[in-house]
Amino acid sequence: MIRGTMALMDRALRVDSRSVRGHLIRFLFVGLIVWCLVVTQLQAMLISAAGLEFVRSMITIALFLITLGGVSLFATAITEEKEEQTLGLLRMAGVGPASLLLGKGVTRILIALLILAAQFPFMLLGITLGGVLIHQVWAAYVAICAYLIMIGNAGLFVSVIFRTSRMASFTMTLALLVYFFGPWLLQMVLASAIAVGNVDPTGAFAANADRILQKLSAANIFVRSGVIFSSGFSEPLISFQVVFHTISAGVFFLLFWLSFACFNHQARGGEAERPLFGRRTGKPHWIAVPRPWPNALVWKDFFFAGGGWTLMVAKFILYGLIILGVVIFVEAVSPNPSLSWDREVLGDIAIWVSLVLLFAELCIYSSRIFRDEIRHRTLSSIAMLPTSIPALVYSKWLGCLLATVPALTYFFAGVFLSPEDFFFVLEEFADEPGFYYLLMQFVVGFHLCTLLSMYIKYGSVAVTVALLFVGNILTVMTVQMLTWGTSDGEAFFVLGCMASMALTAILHAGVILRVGVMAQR
Amino acid sequence: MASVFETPPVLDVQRLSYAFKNHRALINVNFQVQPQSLHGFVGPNGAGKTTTLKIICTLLQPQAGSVRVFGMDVVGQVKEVRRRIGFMPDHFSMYRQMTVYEYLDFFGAAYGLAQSDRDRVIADVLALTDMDGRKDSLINGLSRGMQQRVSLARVLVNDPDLLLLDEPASGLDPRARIELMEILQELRRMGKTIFISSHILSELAELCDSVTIIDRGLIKYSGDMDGLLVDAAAHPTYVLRLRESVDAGEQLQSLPGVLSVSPLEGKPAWSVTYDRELTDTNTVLRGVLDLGLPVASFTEDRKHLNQAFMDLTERGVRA
Repeated sequence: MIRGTMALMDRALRVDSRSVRGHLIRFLFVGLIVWCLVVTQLQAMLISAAGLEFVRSMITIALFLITLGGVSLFATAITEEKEEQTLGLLRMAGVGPASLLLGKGVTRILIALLILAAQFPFMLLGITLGGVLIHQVWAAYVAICAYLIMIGNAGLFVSVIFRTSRMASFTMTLALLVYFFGPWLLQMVLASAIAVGNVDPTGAFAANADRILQKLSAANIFVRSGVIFSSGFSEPLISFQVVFHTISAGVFFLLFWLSFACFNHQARGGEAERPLFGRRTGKPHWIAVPRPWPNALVWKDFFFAGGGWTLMVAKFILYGLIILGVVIFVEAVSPNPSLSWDREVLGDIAIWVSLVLLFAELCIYSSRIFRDEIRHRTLSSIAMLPTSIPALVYSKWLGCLLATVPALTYFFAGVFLSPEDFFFVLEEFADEPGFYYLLMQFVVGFHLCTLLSMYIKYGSVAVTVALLFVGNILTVMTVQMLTWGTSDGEAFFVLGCMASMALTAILHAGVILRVGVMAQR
Repeated sequence: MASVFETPPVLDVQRLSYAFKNHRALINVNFQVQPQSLHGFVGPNGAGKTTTLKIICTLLQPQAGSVRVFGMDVVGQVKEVRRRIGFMPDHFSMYRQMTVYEYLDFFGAAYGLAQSDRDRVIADVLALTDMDGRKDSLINGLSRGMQQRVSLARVLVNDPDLLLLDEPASGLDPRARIELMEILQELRRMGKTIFISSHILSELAELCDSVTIIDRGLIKYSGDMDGLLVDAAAHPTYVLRLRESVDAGEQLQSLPGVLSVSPLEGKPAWSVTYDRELTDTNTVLRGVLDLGLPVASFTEDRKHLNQAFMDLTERGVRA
């Protein structure tokens, strides 16, 4: 076991040390910290507790990146071996589950811990800037390390269960959403149930449920970091959150070990899977894939990347149920619960939920649209068609955009149900440059994700979100520094919009050029 | 070195050069391919075969020199060239979640064929590749040999005049190889020009009319197969198989023009090498029959082609 573990660790560390990309990311991370430090030092003349602001923003960024790492880096540790069909070879070489866990998973966790360790001395400089104590820095680091270990092991467990990185990342995202928002949603339901008299507020059930939900909330790392950076913090370093996350990590470790053989007894990789629809022969007409359309590329991406008619129907039903569920929840937790639904409430919820779903769908498509072609080595075949590369790119995008019709339909249904609210909000936002800036961030994000998916195998969505998040924080801090805090933000948003448009144009050209380059391979 | 062609070539490569960062993949490459011929493009791994093919099929642009397909420049007339050619890469490049029919239908539509034309063409190419019985199978579930046939069928969907096949037989079992070669011969009979790359010369020997040998980016030979043998082997080798084991070494060695005779281990057979300047195949065979030996067969040793290939290409792996 030791030999296998060391071999895998050795390989992982060698790959990491040889990767220019890895060093570049670390260099950028240190540059980011130094830049934030400079900005904070300059702001120290204007604001009190500049050190606290610095440490808080650094910890928030670290937490955000760890969370994204959980979705991408850790959740793909084993699935990438399955997809490359090397898991069977490793097992034949005598590398067991424990060796894989230690060699592949723990190495990634160690690399992340080392980055955190490199960040630590800079955090101590925050103390000299004022507003934060060494005890708070230690508490933050203990909490963040426990969170990292938990999320790392959870990601590894998920990567054992699923065959593809895509499914592992998706499940991890859902699990994290439940972890972050589940207790909060349940607390709202409990409060509503108490308000309407379904639950006795003095009864044992309400008391126990409230206690459990509060504990679960306390285990939320973002809640814990809020507590740590509140004034007068003097709690012990080992909090409930630290204990909870450490025990959870142990449980996930054990589950990984015990379930490995069960989920990986067949050395099957992530083969191409046919979506929900059937083949033409022997299937009902409506469920089968029709003959190609005049624009065959649109047809291909609509049916084989977007799922076609059948998945569209499934999405109509699923999205409808989600909207219905949110409406029921909102009505249930409102001060005056009612079963007679307000048209405007229904419309407003349909608009917002469909926008979130549309965003999620576009994230998935932008990360897959060219990655799948590269993975299956089909890009050269379609690049050989008598059409230009831009036409090929737009056709593929159009095919995927057609698949978003269910989300768009619910959006317009929401507008139809609640036109007053929609146009009122639109008028309010129309005067705000920040609204356009936000829109441009989405446009930049989708382009960036598409481009990144042609450079990195996994986690292009996570990296895009991280880059946009960190980039915006950095930009805002820099603007604040340059304007000495006097800017009302309007000029920033206008300039930001213009910069985003320029960036979009560059990324757009980058996508087209990159497709051409990848087709040559 | 290169033979002189009389008719306008389908493919005309002149002074073609291409470099990747630090190494020159192609250096002043010249060769031509005749219409309706089966032209082999042979070279060891890393010789520049795939780079040449990618330039011909418009995926890469030449850095120097010119490539003309049916008289059209591959840089200036990309779409026109693409309509006349079909390229099969050296890897499986397929949508494995599609059925065979969907896959061919997709490419047919992408080439702008009308639905009725597609029906006819797909039926034809499926029949040609003997895949009509598996048209509703998922590509993912097909064997490697069948996937290669589907890949070839895809190349044929737009009815190209020139087929560019990059190592189509690599990874196939012997049966699938033979079947593939039969399909290629059938395509040649149908009037297609086929440009096929391989790193095994003997594999193409019986199939090709002409051959170009490339090594480390340089053309070592371009012309017909017989010319290769004449140029590269002044001392042909034949295998003489006997119906029964006879100690005929000394008798064979005594024949005029025979340079060396060696027994083939474990078989009643002898390897006979003669000097082309002193005698010819017919004379040697007549001499063998005159000796009264129980001859079963007298065939050219295909290893001889490999020797020719080895003589033309440099030893060792490219740095």
